[in-house]
Amino acid sequence: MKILAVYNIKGGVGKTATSVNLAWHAAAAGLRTLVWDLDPQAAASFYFRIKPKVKGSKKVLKGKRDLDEVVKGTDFDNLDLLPADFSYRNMDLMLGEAKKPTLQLLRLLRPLSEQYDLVILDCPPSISLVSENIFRAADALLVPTIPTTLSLRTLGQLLDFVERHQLEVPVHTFFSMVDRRKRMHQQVMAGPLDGRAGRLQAAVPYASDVEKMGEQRAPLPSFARHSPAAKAYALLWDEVAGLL
Amino acid sequence: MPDLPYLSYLLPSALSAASLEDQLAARLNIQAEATGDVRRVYLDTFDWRLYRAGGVLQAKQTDRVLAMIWEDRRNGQTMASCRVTRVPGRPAELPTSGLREQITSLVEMRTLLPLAQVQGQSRLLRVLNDDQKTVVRLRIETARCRDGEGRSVGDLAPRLTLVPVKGYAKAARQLADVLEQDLALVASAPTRFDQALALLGRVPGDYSSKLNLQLDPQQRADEAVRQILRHLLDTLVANVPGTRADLDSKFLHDLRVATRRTRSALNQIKGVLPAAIVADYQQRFGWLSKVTGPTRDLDVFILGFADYRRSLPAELRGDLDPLLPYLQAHQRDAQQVLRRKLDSPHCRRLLKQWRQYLDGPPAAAQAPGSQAALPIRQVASARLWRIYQRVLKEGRAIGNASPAAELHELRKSCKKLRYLLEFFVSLYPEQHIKPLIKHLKRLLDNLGEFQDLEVQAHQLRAFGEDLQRQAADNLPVVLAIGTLIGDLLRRQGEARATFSDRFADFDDAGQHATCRALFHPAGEQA
Repeated sequence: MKILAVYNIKGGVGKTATSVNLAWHAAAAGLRTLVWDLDPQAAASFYFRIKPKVKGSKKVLKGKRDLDEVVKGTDFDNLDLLPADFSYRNMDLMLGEAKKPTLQLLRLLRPLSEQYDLVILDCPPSISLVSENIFRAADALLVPTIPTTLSLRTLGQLLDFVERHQLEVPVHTFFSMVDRRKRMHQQVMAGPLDGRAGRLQAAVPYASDVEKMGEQRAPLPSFARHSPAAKAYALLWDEVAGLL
Repeated sequence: MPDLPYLSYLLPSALSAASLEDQLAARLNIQAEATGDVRRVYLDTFDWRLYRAGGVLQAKQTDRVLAMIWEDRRNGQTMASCRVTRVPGRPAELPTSGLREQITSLVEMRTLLPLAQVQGQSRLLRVLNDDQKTVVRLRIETARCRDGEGRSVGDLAPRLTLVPVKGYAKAARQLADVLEQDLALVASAPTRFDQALALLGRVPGDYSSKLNLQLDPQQRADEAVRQILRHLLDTLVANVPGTRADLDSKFLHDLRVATRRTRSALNQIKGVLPAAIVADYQQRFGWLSKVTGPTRDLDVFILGFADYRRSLPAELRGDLDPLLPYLQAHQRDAQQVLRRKLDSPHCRRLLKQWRQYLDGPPAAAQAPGSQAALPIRQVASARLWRIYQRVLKEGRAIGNASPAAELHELRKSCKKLRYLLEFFVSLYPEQHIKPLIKHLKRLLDNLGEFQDLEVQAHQLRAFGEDLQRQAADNLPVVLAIGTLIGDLLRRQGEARATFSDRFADFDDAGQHATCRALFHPAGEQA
């Protein structure tokens, strides 16, 4: 089982769209895939039409129930979702109380390792105990980055954090919500990137199709396969599959 | 709440698929998807390894997607799947995946054969909740069945499969209730594969390389021996087509084992069949053993190649690689010769006449053996006792300085004992006979290693000499072979050193008492 964390300190960069669309591609390629909606805004759960409330989620955190029991099947083969109920606050509290808090996420995931080939963590923004857990559990961090100076700075902060805590997780980034009409986007994309992050070639355009995911409540390739944004996600999946 | 397993129903002829859909739509929020063509090819090895492991492997073609699906036979749940571009003949042809990993260890050296094809149409109904989220699926499939070669054999009854969605057990149970209570369907359909096999007249597990004979202790010896030999002939003949086509190395292996067992039965069960018959077929099956030998020897090297390579120091492994194509080329030549021999009138006549003899009435013209009319248990016990004692005598005479030839002789006697035990296992209480066979196998493994490693070392030496003659730049592979030979001979030495311990395990007072009680003529009367 491989664990891919889609993460950014900043919110609103296309994290959830990335998680959901990559998960769709992974499942379509035959990988048994689980999306874990860790973001209390529950956008990934919403896209899959799954209610974020889960009965007994506290028992899961306390280790009295298996994570597997709260997993929900999506409308797509090979693709399941763990809804966003462990409200972030509960999660941070639980992790704060536990011994070796930074290994708790792995402990929760362990029983699922036989059932899934790929787990995609749709992470909440900001840095906390949950995110540190995520960095330790993940085989790779995928960071959607909007091509602006400010976003590059946030990427640098994340890389500093990883370096400072001597985390070994590889960090890969790609440009998200790209608007080629904006000069700043063009300049940032043409310029150099922090050398500590791997740069992927796929660039996902800012597109109304991506916003339609909320209306359709479905992954983009399932309803607009040939749109430019869907093609960019397909390309991104090819690159990510190569990394895993 | 635990998830429901997949449930399957056969649609009765009185209920059409369209009427079923109407009835469901009246009760549930149903969304139908377009009907699609589905073709499934079911694969297994000749000896049903996947079926025996509790799985079903199918290549499923829908629209433009071809996928391999590995299902649990009991509940139809997918254990692994992966996309492919063509139906594989071997697990190695699959892309790296969980599926490949799971079936490789089951299939081993065997080829995957298409056993049945099911071709038809599939329609998917989704049951939605208030959020228009799919909470359970129902697949309706109609299909025509074809055999492995694609010949049509008939229609399968239309089939409904309730596919639960994880985390929505309540919805699945609701749909099951509608089907079972409102529509009176019964959720116990055989799997599609089992349906197809029944239409094809195939019985799963109808071939096994294991001897599974049920003899009656009071049966006349000549009848029992014919029964054993008929079983061996069936096995032998079943493996001829796969051996001819070289589908995989196990066909030839099983054919040779059946031949060897036949010769052993003829030779070891004395005084039962007419002496002229025994002498004649002894010689003719000897010929079959001989002509099948060279291909098998090369198969063994090819099967063991990866292990040979691994046994070398890392820097020499690549040097050994040219040996593989060399072995494969020689195997192809040997296989061609073997196919000609199997197609020869000589071979056909042998199998045909042997069948006629075994099926025919005991020929009056030929004097039956003196033991023919005795109960088989009596004949078997006498022979087993004699060979058992021979094994003990030969084994006890071997010391640390004894020549290799004495161990080879002991191995021959042990093999005779093993075959006899396998023929007659059903005549004795299982709890006594099984441990004996187990100890004997361990001893045979040791003796086999001692002899086979030496034979392999000699053969490798011959390959090395041949490669050296072929081209001067073959030096690296020749040197790698030399290293390999050294390793084989060292392991052979180790086998020799452990012999006395292994034999001591076999030559055990408790086991001796058991054998006496089972086989000794006086013991049996007591």
